[in-house]
Amino acid sequence: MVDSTLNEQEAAKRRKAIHYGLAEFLEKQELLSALWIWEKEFGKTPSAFDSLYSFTKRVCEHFNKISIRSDIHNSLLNAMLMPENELGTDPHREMLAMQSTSPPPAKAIVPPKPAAAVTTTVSVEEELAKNIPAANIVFSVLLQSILNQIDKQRKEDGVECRNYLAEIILKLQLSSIANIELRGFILTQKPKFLLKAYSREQMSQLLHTLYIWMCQYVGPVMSDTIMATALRSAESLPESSQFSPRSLL
Amino acid sequence: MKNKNPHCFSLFFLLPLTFFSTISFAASPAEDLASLKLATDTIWLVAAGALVFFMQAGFALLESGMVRAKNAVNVIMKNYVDMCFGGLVFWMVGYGLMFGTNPTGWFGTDHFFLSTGKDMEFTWLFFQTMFAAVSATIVSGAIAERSHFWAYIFGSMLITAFIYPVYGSWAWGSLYEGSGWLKKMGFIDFAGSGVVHTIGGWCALAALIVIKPRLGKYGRNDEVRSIPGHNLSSVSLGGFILWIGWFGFNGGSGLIAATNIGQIVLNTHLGGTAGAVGALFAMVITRNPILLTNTVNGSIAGLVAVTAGCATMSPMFAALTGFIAGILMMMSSSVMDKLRLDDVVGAVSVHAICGSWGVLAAGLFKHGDLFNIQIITVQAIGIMAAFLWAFPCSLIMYLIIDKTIGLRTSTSNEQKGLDYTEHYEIGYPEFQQNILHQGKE
Repeated sequence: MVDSTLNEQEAAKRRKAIHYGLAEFLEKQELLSALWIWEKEFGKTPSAFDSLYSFTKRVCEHFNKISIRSDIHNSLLNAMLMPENELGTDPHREMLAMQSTSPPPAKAIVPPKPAAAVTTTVSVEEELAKNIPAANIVFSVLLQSILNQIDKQRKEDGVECRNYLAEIILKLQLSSIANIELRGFILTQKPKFLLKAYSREQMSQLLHTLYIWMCQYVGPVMSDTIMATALRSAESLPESSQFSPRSLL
Repeated sequence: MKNKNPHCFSLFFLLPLTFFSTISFAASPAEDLASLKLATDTIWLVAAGALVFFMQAGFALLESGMVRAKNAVNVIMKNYVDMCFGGLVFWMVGYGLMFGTNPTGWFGTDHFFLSTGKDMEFTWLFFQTMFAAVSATIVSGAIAERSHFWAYIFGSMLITAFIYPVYGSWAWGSLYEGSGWLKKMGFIDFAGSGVVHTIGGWCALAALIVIKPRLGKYGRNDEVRSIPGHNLSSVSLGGFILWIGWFGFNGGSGLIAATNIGQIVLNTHLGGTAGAVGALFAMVITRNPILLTNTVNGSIAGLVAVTAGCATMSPMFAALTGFIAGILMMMSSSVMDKLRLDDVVGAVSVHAICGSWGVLAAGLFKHGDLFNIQIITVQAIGIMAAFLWAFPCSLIMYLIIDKTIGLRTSTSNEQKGLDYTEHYEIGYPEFQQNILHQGKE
């Protein structure tokens, strides 16, 4: 708990410093967008100074401030070194207000390079994953891994399997919202993680139905191999320590 | 069953023992000789019985190697435990039904729970108990990977207590008074191609019909899928152990230590070797891959087939019997798949089909009386009797077991593996890649 409080304090101080350092170079809306980039991609790194170079580069490229990049960098460095009480108020509330009234800043800012895009996506998902139960994450990864492996075997089998599962879901006695979500997840592979509540029995039942389908269509040996591979994927998740994927299989 | 040439061994290591007993009782030379013979017979039968017992280890290794890693413990457990329960029920009921006084020719009526008797009776009981265990354990491999443990054990107890001994009493009964009806007709089944192997094999067929194939064994487009075993070293080691055990199985079946044991075990060996060669021959001419599993099964098929006539046929015919058995095993395995009968280890092909062939071959190739139609007819009657007795009985038995206890496990258990679901143990926790469970949460 102590560490967590300190980290939060440190994060707030960094946020204030970035806000202070950028304020003279960017408009209000730009400033808040830049703060979201900081929060999502750089704010949690152990050393804020190490991240400043990459962050400055990113902001300058996006807001066309390349010509004053060194000024911005120096300003940010100075702000980081200033005492906290001179940095003004924490802009967190303004950031949240902006998020609720306009599209999410991380999406609004078009990443300049593919590598950065990947980083942004992962970061958002990590953010989202914090609020998803471990069981859902583990189940989603297991299911997705199995379906992807079937797709790799034969694309037609993958389509047939997804359609079959979509029909089976109706027998699971899920709530209508969960039913829609699960069907969508199986048929379109979106979202990345299931969000609704599913009982362990429902998740096990669906995976077992999938196993039986696989035995019939791709054979029992391949089915065991696919299940084992999916299990390894799920066990590599940090959430597997909270919810064992073995309990579903 | 009875040896035709009962000359005693000259076992010099026994002489000191006999010498001391002679001094103690100051018996006549004839009594000394009888005593020596009895001791020699006993020693040989006990040793042969131990070799037959060792066959259980062979079956366990062979069958467990032929199943997926997630079911290895379950198969070993079945082999181990059916022998334990089988030993008890055969002592309680089976021995009496099979070898007790047989006034009608249909079953024995005494010597249940054998507790008093002559020394040799206990030796016979010991030796025959091992045979009964072999017959019962044949089913386990056929229905491996999807059968409920206790349902299987219950079935194997009924086979050992009832189905096997009743047919045994027809062919081999009695060791006391009376005689089985097949035995009276002159039925030849020296060591049990019919009594032990076909009975076990037909019971396995009945169990297969009731239990249905494993998940995914037969695909939606009628394709037959191979489900390879997890340990072929274990399969081959099991084959070797069974082969060694067979020397005791056939060599001890004369129930005395006689000089013709050499020929019996030679014929046994030739049957096994020719069986493997026959299976290889069949694989080559049908352009199939040369599989270790089929080769081992071929040798076992040859051993099964030669068991009936190993004391009554020449070595040349023993080899021919084994060779044909190897080919038959390959052919019948393919027919089994066409019939959608998922026999995991090929038990029906090896034991029922090749056992029946062995019984017929014992009539066809009887030394000094080749191709005698009367003998062949009796052998055919014996083969039919084995099927008509064992198959319907075991089919009814397994149907009842399926309706009450449940012969087949759930598909969920099949997915998880029976090691985990039936025993909560796993054979290969360190490196098992395909196993999905390592214990309950």
